[in-house]
Amino acid sequence: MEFEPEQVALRDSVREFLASPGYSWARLTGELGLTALAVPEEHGGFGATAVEAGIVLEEAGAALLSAPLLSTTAAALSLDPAMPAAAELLPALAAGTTVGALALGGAVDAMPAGDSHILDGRVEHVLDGDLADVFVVEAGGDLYLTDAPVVRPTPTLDLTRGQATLILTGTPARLVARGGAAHALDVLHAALAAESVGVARASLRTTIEHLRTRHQFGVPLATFQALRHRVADLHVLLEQATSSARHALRVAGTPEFALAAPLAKLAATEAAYTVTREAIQLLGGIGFTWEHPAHQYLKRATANHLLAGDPAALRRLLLGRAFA
Amino acid sequence: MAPEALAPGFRDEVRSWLAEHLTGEFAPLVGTGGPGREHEHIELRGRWEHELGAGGWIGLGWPRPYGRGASIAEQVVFFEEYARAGGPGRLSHVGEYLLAPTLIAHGTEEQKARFLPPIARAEELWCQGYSEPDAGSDLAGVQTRAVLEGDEWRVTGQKVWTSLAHVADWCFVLARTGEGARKAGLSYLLVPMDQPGVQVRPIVQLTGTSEFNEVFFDAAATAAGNVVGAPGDGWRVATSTLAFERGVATLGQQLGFARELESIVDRARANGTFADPLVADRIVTAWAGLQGLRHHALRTLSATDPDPAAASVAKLLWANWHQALGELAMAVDGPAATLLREEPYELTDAQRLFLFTRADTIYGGSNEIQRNIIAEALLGRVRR
Repeated sequence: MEFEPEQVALRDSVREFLASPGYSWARLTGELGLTALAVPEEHGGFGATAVEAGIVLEEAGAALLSAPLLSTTAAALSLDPAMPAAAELLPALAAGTTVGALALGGAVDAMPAGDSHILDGRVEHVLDGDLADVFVVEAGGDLYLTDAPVVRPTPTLDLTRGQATLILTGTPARLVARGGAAHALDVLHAALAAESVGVARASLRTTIEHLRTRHQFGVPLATFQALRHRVADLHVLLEQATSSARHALRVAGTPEFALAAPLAKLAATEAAYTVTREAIQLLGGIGFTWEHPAHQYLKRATANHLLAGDPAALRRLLLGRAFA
Repeated sequence: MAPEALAPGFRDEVRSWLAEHLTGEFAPLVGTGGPGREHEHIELRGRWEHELGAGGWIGLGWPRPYGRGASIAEQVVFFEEYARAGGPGRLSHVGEYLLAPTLIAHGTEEQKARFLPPIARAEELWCQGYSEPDAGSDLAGVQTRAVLEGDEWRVTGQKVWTSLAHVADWCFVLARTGEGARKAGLSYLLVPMDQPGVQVRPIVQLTGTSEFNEVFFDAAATAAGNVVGAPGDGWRVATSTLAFERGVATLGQQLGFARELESIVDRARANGTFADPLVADRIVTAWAGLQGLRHHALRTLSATDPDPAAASVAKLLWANWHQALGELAMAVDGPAATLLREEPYELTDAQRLFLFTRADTIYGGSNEIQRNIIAEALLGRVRR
């Protein structure tokens, strides 16, 4: 087994919890402590590694969890705990009493103002921006914490996760990671990769179940080689993506992370995008209905595919990093 | 975990041994004998195998006393360092990686004592007698027949796609010994090649070279004791060997892939195509795919759960990636890729990679067979 027994236990307990009806943010963060997992112990967390955070996000993806777990986890992992504002925030993020979101890739200027800063600019496509209490904003390659932007929630194709546009006009903010923006994007890439693996796995599992149970021409669909080989190819794609996603989380904190994270995002979101599109074809008519969850998997996979660097942007980034 | 961390000190040992030995008379072998170049320096490579054997590097992963009992991580380190040093294509690998694990799993103590040490010293080379003209993907359809006459088996039939048959001393043969249909009635026999009843004929491939052979058995003899597992149990024994073959997807192989990709990048920079964003995109896609192969090997190496489909996943991944690399090599060379290096039929590197990788998706279980295996694990078996 590639995971330690405690990691398997974590995965199983999260899986079981998310499969039971009536889970809530309070129980996810309070009872299970999922937002505390990868926060250092001295800042109110459990001091686990990114690997454990990834295990949880994979399960969250499989369950299409509609809660700001990825964004809060990624925000926490992006902070530099040596910065006072970061150290002050981490216990609340760990406890889940404060919801955080990363606001990267916008056009934002930071100006010093006394011991802190003010931010001006705009950031679009902030994941879970509609739910967040605080925002970790990229400006000039650094990360700043603010709780006072104008937040404009934007209606999303994927109804399981919201987005918002942030408008910053002289908004007070505090530095939480000097030069931390590139790392924050790597963290977001690795997190989206882990989640996308979960989405793809759940979508493929649903599809396989359908092929095994639905009969046409007097036999299960699963007996037709035209379908069997396509499922096999999807499985291969997903297995490789799983390897890249988990590898990125294993090398978090090493120099390799700067390549492994975008590679994982590329492989996992491409796999999820392909699996969830193919799933609808393999499911046939039922897969085209609102009632069946296939479209929810597709829409989450589509969002993960296009946000925070689409495949073309990722390949461009990798070309720069690997062939400089 | 990275193999480096699992095998401290071992890497240095391998590296310094290779530095001391892959030199002098063996220096011409560096970088030779790989796919498409398997006909090169056969005799010298045979001596190099003896050198490896004397150094204790053959049978590294076999359990003691026959091997060194090295961990998987150590074996990976050996492959990596061997590839990094430009070690020549191996001649003893069929015995080392296919027959030996089969003997260790299914052989008698006498068979292990008789056959394993000469493999470890590279004194006896092996080839694999499975495929036949009418039994390729459908291996259970083999027609080669063996009959016990007194204290000898007499083997009659034809095998095909037999790598290294022209240099091998022995062949492990899947032959029909009983009356049962298909998988029943097969036996796994060990047959000496140097006898009048065995004829080897090379197959000229689409590359113009010959890496494979046809092998004709005409009442070829082998001792009654040279059957692995019980007579009639050959299917189970043989398919375990196939699993070993499919398991030999290593990080070392990927170092060779990385070198091929590097040389394509070098050519793309030299001929200006790298500046074309569409070509650069294909190159970074190939590079990303190779990183993906590495991530996958690292994860599956650390997995101990037997997953019946894992070897098939790995085979599809590397075979498809490598085949696409051959296509990229041709695209980078452009119209120049249509010209031979020289007459009569000397291929360029790109042509060799392009043509040889057509076989990657066929041998060792074709892509279609691998998909069948995966589908069976996910969707259940289909009765015919």
